[in-house]
Amino acid sequence: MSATNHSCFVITGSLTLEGSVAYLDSDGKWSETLDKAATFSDSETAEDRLAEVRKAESIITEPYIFPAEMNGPRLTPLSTREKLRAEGPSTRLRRPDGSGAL
Amino acid sequence: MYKYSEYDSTLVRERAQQFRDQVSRRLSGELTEDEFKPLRLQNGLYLQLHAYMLRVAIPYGLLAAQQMRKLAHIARTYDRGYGHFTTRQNIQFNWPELEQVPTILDELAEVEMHAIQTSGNCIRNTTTDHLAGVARDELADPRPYCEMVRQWSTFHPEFAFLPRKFKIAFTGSADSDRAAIRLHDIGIQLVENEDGELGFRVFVGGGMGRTPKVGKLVREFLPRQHLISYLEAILRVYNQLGRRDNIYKARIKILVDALGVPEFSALVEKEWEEIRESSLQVTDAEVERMQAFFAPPAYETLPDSDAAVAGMQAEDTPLGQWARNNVVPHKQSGYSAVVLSLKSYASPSGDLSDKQMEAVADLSEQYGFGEIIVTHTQDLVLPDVRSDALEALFTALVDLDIATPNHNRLTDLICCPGLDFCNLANARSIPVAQEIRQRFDDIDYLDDLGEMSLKISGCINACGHHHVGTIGILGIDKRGEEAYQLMLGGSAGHDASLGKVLGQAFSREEIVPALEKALKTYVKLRESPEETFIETFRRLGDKPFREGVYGA
Repeated sequence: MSATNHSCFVITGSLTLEGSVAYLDSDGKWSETLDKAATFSDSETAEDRLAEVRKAESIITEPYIFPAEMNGPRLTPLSTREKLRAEGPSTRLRRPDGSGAL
Repeated sequence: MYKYSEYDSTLVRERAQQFRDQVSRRLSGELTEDEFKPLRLQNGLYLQLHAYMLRVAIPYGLLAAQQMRKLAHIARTYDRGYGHFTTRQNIQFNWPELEQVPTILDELAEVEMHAIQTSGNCIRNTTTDHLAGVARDELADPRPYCEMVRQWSTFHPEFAFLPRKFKIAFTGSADSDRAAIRLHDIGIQLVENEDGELGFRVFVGGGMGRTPKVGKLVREFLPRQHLISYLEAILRVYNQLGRRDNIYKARIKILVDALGVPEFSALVEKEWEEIRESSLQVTDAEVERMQAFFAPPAYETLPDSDAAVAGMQAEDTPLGQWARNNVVPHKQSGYSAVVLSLKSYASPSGDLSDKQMEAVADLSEQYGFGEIIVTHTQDLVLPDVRSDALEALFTALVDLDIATPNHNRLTDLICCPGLDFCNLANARSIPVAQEIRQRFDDIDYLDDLGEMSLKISGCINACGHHHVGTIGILGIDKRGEEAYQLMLGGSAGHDASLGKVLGQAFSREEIVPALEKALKTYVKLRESPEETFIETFRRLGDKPFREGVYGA
């Protein structure tokens, strides 16, 4: 994977206990917000870091890398899938906070 | 409905205890995800886009009021206040935490429910006609046979690791199929032979997904006592010869196609010869025992209500619209079956909040005998409503936002969770469905369009049954963007057929206008208002629709 079409890579996975989306931050902890994610400028460094975090399986499940880009201070995933993972479902009734439910 | 024996109860309770231990070991790090994944899947627990998802089995779609209340309690206590009824007559909870799942399974066991075999390469929940037991066109109630299959297939040691998942569906109606049986690995229709004996017509090798197939007839008449031994023979042939080297070619439909029906049937017959006279035979006593669980409730003796219901249906009022579309004739004089639409203009197909679930449970007792049916088209049915109570029930359903009069209309659309929730999806499906409901919200227009089905899937796996919609929409990934194919001409009924892709995929912005063009083409081309969309399509083919949608 090369960084020619995007500016950075992010490591993500699902928290084993909650199942919720998490991003590896620069302190090596798992954050539930994308803005706190650590960014890697090349895929090789990201792959090396991914190999390390895979050892913490009781905390994070199925971690992987996805490409993103920095728009000013804002980190934006390139794929619709990762945008939805970061922002939650796009439907009113089924928002994660339950808003809109009867 | 079926009541658990002590054996059933013990089995389900022990499975929940076993899973509690497995979860504990996963959280302590003793089990890796690779080790844990097959264990959680065998208990219906997936890891989806945002959270874990628990799929709970609803055998043949039949729920008692107290079970619905338990689902409401689970939605409120362990989830986010709602559940999602699926196209396999199950329910899914989208937000449970791993640690709480064993407790949810304990709670389900209290009301004779579980999540066993709702995932994995095993025999899944057996489904059937949502009007089973009350349909006027029914030859016999298929549910006793569904329950026999459930008991035979649950924890069957030979069939726990099949090449791929396996789905069985029944219908008891001679002339109509409301259970999409020919789109299942095995589809079974109750029939009578020339001597008036009840038996089964058996179809094998139907299914959707990336290689859609309509099931092939393999046996015109199977005597009743051989139901289980014949199914066992089919499963044995599949288990031995089904492909395990390629997940995309592992379903039985691929095997049936590869061998051809004559050779496949011959192999089944040969296997069957070995076991036909074994203890797998279904005795008359066992049939009677099972039928007793599904005996008709204590109906009152009431006068025929057809004329009164017809009068209500003729009214040009919201009640009349609802009665025309959502009230179904019942085989018992004075009663009707009622479809509760989980397709309101505001919520995703199949979703129901905890409060709505509790209210539906109450209504099932107030206006029936405490039973609720989940349909494979993501609605609910109250099967035994006194026809003289329809108006009062309608008022209650309006208050709950489950009285949309769109049963078998364009907006009664099946829709999978799509990319908003699902790990496999390529595109969102719920927002497309919601836009369609908002765009086509005039019930008079929907009535003018007449009977049709619209089915949307967010990927090729076809949980939204797009292959068999009169109109199907398939979400795909086109160079990183969500795009949608339009398909026409599918049917899941007794005239089962697969839809045909009309042409190039549309962008998210284009797909609903494209649908509108297809509808306008139909209205322009139909010979009369009585000719349905699929009849027009079958008469003329796809060419005029392609021209209508894409331009000449």
